[in-house]
Amino acid sequence: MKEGHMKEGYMIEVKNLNKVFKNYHALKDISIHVNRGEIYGFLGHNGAGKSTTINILTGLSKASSGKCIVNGIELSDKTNPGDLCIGYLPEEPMFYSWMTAKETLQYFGENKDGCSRKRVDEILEWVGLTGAAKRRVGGFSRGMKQRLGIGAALINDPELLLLDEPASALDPEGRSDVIKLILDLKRRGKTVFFSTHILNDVERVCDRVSILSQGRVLFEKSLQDLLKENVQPVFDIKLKERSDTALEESIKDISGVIKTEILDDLLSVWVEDTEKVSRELLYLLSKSSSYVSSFSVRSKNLEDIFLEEVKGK
Amino acid sequence: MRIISVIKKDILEGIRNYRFLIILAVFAFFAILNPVMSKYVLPELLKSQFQGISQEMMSAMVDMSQTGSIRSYLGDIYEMGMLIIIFVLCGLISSELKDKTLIMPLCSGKSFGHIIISKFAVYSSVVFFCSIFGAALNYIYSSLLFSSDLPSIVPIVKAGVLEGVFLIFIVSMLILIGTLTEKPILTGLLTLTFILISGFLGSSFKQQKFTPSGLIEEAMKLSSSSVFNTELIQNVAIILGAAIIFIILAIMRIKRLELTNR
Repeated sequence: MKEGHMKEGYMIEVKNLNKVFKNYHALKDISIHVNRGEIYGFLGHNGAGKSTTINILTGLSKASSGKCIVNGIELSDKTNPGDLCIGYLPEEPMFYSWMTAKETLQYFGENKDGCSRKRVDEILEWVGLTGAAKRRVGGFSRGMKQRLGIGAALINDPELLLLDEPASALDPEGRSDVIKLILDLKRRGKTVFFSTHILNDVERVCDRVSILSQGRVLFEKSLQDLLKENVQPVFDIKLKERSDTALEESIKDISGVIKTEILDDLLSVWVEDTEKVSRELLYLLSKSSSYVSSFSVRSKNLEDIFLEEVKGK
Repeated sequence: MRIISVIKKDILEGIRNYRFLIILAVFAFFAILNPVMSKYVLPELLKSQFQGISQEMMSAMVDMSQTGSIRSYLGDIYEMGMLIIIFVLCGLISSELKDKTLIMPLCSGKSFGHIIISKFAVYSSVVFFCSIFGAALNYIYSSLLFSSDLPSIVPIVKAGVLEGVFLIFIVSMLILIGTLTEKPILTGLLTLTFILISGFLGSSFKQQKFTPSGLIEEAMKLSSSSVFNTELIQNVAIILGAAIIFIILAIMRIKRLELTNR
């Protein structure tokens, strides 16, 4: 194990990572980086290679080739997962069924500095398992195991958390709780790298994302830039009445408007530049006798972008 | 020390999964059953099978002394007891690999070495002390049923120690084969096959001192004169050395495993 990147650098740096299982090339030249303190969404279909990448980043699996620096440590064949000082939540966390939730956290937390009961109680409360602290894990539901897994990943207060599909097994309430937990981690300055195929979660929490398809990274961008890039030069105006031809004609006269289209109560306006046209368009709408129930700039959501990218490649 | 928490976990696991209790019960069961069998059950069986059999003939067929009872106990532990212990402990490491329960402890800072060494230390201690306990219990109980014909408890303790070393070797084999196969039942079957074949080869080529079953043969002699016999010490050293090598190989093997893709 070598001290790789400086602590001030990226929290995760992956360069030309490849993983080959016998005849199957699972990861093909993956290069990504994760900044300190950010929430990074690693997106992809089932089987795209997300878990394989995370397994390599945790030190549990070995790369066929390429370079990975995690938390300042360059991964090698000799890297022990415990040396990386990370918190890891597998897609399906497996625990000792005969242990209680409290004993599980105590065991995972008993390392060099020991593990205080206070810390265990704090984590149990944080993940909402205080009431089940003395129950054996064997009797836990999938959602409870997921919460315990998050607690186990946090027990040693790591700077970096690798979460593999943290919300996939949870009901809507559980998912919402996990998202809140992730946002709370960000407030505490932790770096979170999480894989998911639930794009709604990504839009709520991520700073940057990358999309993985068939073992290749299609792109890596800040979520804000990605959504901004995918804003379409179309205004969607929802009217109370089914059609207002007079208004449509007036809009067509605005400089920069390319075309208009009415579909039921929705008036769509294609423009050359949304910023230039929006002021004049809003002014015209305020003067019009038609009642406007909504006004928005059409943009692709992450799901559209994801599907477009994955299908395009 | 980080290994202490792993040892505590393995002790708790042994208690909660009744592994310790089963191992103790195996030794206690045979320790109590054999004197009863030798004293009451076998003579009655022989009487019912051979009408009018004399006491002398019966003594010639079955050793109905304390020594005979203890030998019978040691033989039963080697045959039946070993079988039960192998299948109780066959999942020591292979179940953890199969069920992926090692992933989170490893990522939380536990090391491969500590996990393997802890299992070996805990279960070796248990089988070793249970072996001595069983031999001592058998000695005490057989003393109550038969007239004592052994000069002291020394041959019994020696037999218990030798059987304990034999079982330590089995624990190390279960750990090594467990890391190779990752399947509990296959681990048990392979360990059993190895022990039986090595015993057969050892006796066929008169090289018992190099085989684990040689320890059982030595234990069954119940001799008190050769406690520090050079050949015996050599035999014990070879078996313990092999057990340590197996543990080192198991650590090397588990470090190379892809723990997540199976």
